[in-house]
Amino acid sequence: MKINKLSLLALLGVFILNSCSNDDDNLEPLPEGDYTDGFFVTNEGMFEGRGTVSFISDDLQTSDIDVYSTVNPSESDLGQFVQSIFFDEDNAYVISNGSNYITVVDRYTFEYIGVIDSELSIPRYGEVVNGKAYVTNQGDFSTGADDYVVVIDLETLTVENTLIIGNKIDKLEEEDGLIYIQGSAFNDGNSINVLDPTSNSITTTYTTEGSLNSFDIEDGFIYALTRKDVEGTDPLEKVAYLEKIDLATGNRSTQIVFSQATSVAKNLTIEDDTIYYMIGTSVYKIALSTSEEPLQDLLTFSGNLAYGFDVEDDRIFIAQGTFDSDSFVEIYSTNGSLLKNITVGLGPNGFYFN
Amino acid sequence: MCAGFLYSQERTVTPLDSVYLTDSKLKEYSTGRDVLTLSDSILYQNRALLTNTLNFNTPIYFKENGLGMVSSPSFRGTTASQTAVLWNGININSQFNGQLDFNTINTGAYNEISVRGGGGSVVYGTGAIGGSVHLNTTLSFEKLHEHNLFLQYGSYTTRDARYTFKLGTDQWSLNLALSRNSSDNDYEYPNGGENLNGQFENTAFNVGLGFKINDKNSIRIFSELFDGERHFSLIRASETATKYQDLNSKNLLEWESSFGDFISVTRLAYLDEHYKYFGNLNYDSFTFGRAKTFIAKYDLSYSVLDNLTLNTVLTNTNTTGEGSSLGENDRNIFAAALLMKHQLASDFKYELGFRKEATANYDSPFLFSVGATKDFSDFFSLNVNASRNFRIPTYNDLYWSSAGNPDLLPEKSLQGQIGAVFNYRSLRLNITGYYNSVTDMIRWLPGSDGVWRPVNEDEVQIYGLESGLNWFKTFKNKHRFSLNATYAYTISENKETGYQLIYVPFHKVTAGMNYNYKRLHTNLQFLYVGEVFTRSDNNSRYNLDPYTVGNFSMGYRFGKSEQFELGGRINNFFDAEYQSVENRWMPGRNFTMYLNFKL
Repeated sequence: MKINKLSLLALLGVFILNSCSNDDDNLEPLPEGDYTDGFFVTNEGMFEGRGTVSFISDDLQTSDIDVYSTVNPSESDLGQFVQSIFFDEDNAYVISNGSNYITVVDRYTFEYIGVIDSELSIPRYGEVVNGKAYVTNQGDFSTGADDYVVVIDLETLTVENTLIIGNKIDKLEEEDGLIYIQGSAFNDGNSINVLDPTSNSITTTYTTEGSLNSFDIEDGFIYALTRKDVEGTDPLEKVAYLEKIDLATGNRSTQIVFSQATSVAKNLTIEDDTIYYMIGTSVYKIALSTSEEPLQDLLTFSGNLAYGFDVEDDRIFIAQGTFDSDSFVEIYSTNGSLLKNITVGLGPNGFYFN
Repeated sequence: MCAGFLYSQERTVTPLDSVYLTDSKLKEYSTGRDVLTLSDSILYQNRALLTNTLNFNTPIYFKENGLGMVSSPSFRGTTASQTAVLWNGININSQFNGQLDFNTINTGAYNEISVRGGGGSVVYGTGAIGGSVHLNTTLSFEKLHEHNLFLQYGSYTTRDARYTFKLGTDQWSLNLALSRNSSDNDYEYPNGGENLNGQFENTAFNVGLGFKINDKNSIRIFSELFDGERHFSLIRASETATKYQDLNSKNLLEWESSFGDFISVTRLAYLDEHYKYFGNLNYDSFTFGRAKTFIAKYDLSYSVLDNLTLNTVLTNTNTTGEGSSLGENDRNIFAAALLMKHQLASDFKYELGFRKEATANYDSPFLFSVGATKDFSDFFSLNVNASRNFRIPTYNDLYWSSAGNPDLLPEKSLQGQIGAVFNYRSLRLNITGYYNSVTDMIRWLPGSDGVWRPVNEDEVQIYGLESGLNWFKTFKNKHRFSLNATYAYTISENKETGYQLIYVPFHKVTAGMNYNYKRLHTNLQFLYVGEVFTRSDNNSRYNLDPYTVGNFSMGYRFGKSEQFELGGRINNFFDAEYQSVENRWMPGRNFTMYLNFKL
């Protein structure tokens, strides 16, 4: 009886909502699906296992540790080491860098659509520009010379072009129609390659002074966290730099020289003219123009390894690097207070927002 | 074929004087424990790779990444590097990771494989914590001229050829073994997939040569070459294909000399361990590791009295290792051991052992072993043994580029066991209970900078039961039955969290049954492995299901003196769908035929 009442209420609810949106024909149809309001967490999974994707609702009240299996119980899995997700308007593309394929799902329902599984070799990250996907590939680990970007036709889910970049590559970011590729992997490399999707060629390569950890672009400038070893120290100390590159002139300047340490600044991300980064398990927050190292951290993560980090819509997201059991993520407000700790899959490494 | 199993303790064994085993300590210093010996007839009933033989016949649990792929043991609930593997008494665990991959051993190279549960570091050095596995070449000093050719062909184009040649007189002895095993290994998965890129091949050549110079002096040489290449199977077709090559040689020269009440054995050994890993077959590049180990050993035993023996063993081990992420490093370890064995009465004996190592590499703990056996009647005897053992940090642990930790301590184990043996006519039952506390376990963990480094982290406590049953019976002089079974119950838990270690089943059972009638021979094998955890928090959502696998073989002997045996085998006749590692299916029902020819 209870169930019937609830079902009725749910039906009515849908009816009412539908009527509301039907009232106004000018409104874009809202995306429909269980995963419309919330974000995904990519989980690498065990070495011998499969990666997974967890979903957490925007209000942080509901979550699903393995949303792909929930929706698609009979499809083949997401592959070994789920590395990242990229989106276009309708779809989410889930990259498995151990299995060399990309699973295509509806970004709002997570229903399986198809798979891209040729010409990928250790794929890492992707971006969609003008209806084409650009995905970085590392190929042979021992060298950057063969690292390449594939251009994928998203209509046919096939690779239509392969662009050898020639140095180690990793994350990429679209800005004003150009693709900025992090020319380093695991802190090895010191370039940012700019790919022009209209010509499918590298038009500019910026170099950083230290080896590149992470970068972001804001108001015509690249902000990059880099590092250098301090010779003669044991244990080895490093010094981190905040470098700033003017996209218009290519001029490079050092904005902050951090104090040296065994563990240095990493994971730079810019949100609302504020730079966020981490040292060890601490999060720091500085204004875009600051040239001083902050004295105080904003918050300290409760885990022992911050493996994934992001800032979005006034919230800070940190994933704990646990690789022998299911792990957790923590969500903080941008003033540093903990909002929620939520269980996710094994080896969570990134956040992707719907 | 005879039963093939032999449970030995010194009490029950009357070794033939004519058969020489260079790993004599296994027989002489195993007071207080059971040694399970698999003879060549058991070896012929299994695949050529050591994993398969031990999995179906001993309590050791194996984690195998698909048939023939990387395989690591868990013996009495310990980790992969806590089982020592001895080749003719020489420790051959890898210098790089401290383990032996049990699918890189071709059993056709040996005529006897023994397994001993419990610590053995006093005699066998690093890694003998859960137990030890002994690969032996015996030499027979008697008039002998024997060829044996065993050929086997089966599903997935699996070829297995083993040839042995034994030649002997009362003065000298030759034991030569040549063995080759290859397979396309392209079996189907239960979910419709296929085992892609899983092909492997290996060749092993082993020779033992002994010469008695005179009554007091003899010289022996043992040598082995193993050459193997394995492709690592893919779970999904688009994955990056990889392969692994091993080229290992092992060489041992020994001179035994007796004078008065002393016997001395001087041994020189040279081991060459060389691997190449091709991380992407689309490219030529590979990573490698190579370790050359030179061992000099002086073993002196003194019969103080008829029933009391003292034994000192001095060993110097020098290793030069290099590898892609390791640079080149030398290490030298000097070890001194003192052993004593005393038959106090006809029904009671005990032994003591001590060992201490000197090396600049790690802080070496003082090791000991004490064991005793008491016979209460012809039916019943009790054993006790206690020991302190260790596993030293490996080359990878110490020297891995920007991650190695030079301050690591050895893993240490303090353990005790008590065993009861019941003998009634042809029935033998042994039950051993043990407790093992392992501290300073070396684990690779990610630091806050994301770099994985080895640290002495966990403490593990392990306790359990190990049991073996052997029985044979002949009816009307024609029908011969035999049964060999083992059962292991294992609790192995992280002391801090209380959780069972991953990939350690609570239960494992093996059973082998033989029936012989005239020239007909049949054999049934069963293996049961209980559920295992795959997550450190024992989240049962991710457990691997228990499985039961059965094999059946039948053979018939032809020829005037029954010198040919022709037979066939059904492996996994239940067609069980099983995996011992997450996502790594093992083959379903498959078939082999064999020919065994003796001359």
